[in-house]
Amino acid sequence: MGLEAQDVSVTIGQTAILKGVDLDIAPGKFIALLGPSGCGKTTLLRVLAGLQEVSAGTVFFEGKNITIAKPSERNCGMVFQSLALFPHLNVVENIMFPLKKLDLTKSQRLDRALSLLEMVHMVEFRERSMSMISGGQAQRVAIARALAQEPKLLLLDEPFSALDAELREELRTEIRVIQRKLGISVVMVTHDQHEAFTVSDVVGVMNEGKMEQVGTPDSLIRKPTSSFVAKFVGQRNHISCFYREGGLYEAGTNNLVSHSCSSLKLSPYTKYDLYYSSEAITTMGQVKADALYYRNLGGRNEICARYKEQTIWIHNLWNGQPDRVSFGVDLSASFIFEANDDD
Amino acid sequence: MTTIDSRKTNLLTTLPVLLFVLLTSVLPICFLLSNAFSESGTSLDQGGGLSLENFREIFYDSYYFGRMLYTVSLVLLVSVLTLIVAMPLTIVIARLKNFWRSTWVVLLLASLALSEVLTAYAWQIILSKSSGLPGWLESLGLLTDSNSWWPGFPAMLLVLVYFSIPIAMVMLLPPVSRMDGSLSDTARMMGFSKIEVLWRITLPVLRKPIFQTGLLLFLLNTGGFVISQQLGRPSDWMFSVFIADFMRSFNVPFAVALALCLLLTVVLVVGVAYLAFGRQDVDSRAV
Repeated sequence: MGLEAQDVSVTIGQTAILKGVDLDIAPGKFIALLGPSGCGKTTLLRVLAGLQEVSAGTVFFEGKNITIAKPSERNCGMVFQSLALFPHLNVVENIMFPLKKLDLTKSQRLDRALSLLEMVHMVEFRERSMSMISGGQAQRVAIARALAQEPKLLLLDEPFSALDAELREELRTEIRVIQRKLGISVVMVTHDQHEAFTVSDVVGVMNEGKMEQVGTPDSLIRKPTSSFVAKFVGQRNHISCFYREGGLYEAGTNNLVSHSCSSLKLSPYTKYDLYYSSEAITTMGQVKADALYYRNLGGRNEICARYKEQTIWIHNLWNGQPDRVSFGVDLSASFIFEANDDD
Repeated sequence: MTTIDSRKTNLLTTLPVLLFVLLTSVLPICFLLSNAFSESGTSLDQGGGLSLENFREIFYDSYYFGRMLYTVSLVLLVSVLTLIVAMPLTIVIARLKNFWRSTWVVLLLASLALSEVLTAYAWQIILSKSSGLPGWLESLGLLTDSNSWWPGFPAMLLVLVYFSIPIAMVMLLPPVSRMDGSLSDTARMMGFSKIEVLWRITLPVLRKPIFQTGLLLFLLNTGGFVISQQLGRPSDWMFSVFIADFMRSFNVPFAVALALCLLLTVVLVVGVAYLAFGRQDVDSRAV
């Protein structure tokens, strides 16, 4: 009995921000909400926090309906994207602040604040003002403060977006260690696929206010259930194509994409969207792309090429550095979906 | 060489500003000082000699000290009351959608375009028995035997606060709008009520702009005399009314001496306020 959102919708004015979102998070799990900007992931997080009213749907936490419960009645802590540390208080005062709402003496509050600071390795900075600590240190303080009231659910709104890559990696690991140690559930919003996949047990991919797919990072990579998920989780190259006897052809040109598609049960003359990674490139095809430039990533040669309106990255399987390449796609390492009519 | 060159360049670029300040501020103040220290009824340029007579008269007569104390207290009261009214209104406006917020800003700026004289006359009408509120309330049967609500201290205080509110809101709106909304969201999640959030988070975070606005209101109102003279009784008049009266009666040296005393008192109050509240550092990133 963890956190469950059922058919949650949020409409602000005439705009539907969330459209019937379902989410089920088991206790003690780390879930990332992944999606492009404006897809509704922060709104969903605010719904879970109680900071955003729902237009429809229900939210349960540990079996209790908390849809209309106040934020303070939900037993959850939150780290905002801006961190929202109180600038008029120093480090330890920031952490002691939420403890004022608990039945504790001042010395008990101080003890708990210091133990939280110890957990995030910030004890020696306890007297510093907010303007005297770095971005990474502020991040640690924000996490410690969010944990001060011992919440069972921790909500993180793009917490690492303002940090450099090395610090992000360090703090990701740290937050995961803290989550395991405390046994709490964590929901983290991010638009960074690498971040979502490295830190989470489960990832929910959102698009245009809907939950496209929820699953482990592995299942999202191996079995995306929609063209959006396939594209968003890494297979970013796309070809619009159709099937006819003998193979898969590029729509509009009849250039061969792949011969070996008999096992896919495709319908003749139906339009399909094919998503493929750099590794799925073969020389056995007629799709044409103009090479823009070349790069070598530790022995792996790649071409940055222009294919129609797209910039694509493909393996350089050709001799030298040709200006134009003709390629095909290995369908066993790609994903194919019937195209939407609107496309 | 580079340092010397850059110093020269700095001097050259700041020279016009220095000259401007000298012409518009330093020279007039020197002229006023010379007047203040001249014999009553004459000025130095009219052949009068140097004298402390004007200041002696001010300091020997406790009346002026009393009026000064009254003026400073009144202006502090006006500043505090204005901030108490303006702060919540500004927070409400800052949370409005862009269109409504812009509309309010235009209205506030428009109200600032009205002069103190016009505002005072308008309020004289509003508070008069013949065509203002007392008359209307009496005709509705809500008041009996009402009198005009001006002149008097309450009318003067009301209009001074009314006149100061748009100034305070225009000053407070940018920092209030920039304040990170997640600060109050965080406190609400911790279980603090809206009043607690205002008291424990919003006001302390905004203390620097609040202090600056209060200071500006204090400075603006200390020098004002139109509202005080038009809506208050003589016993309610502020110090600057006396300065204006002596100017009108051509006793310029005494008026200037009074103005200098007012200036020194303002500098003293501002200095004390700055030492008490102004030096606290507020992290501008969070505001």
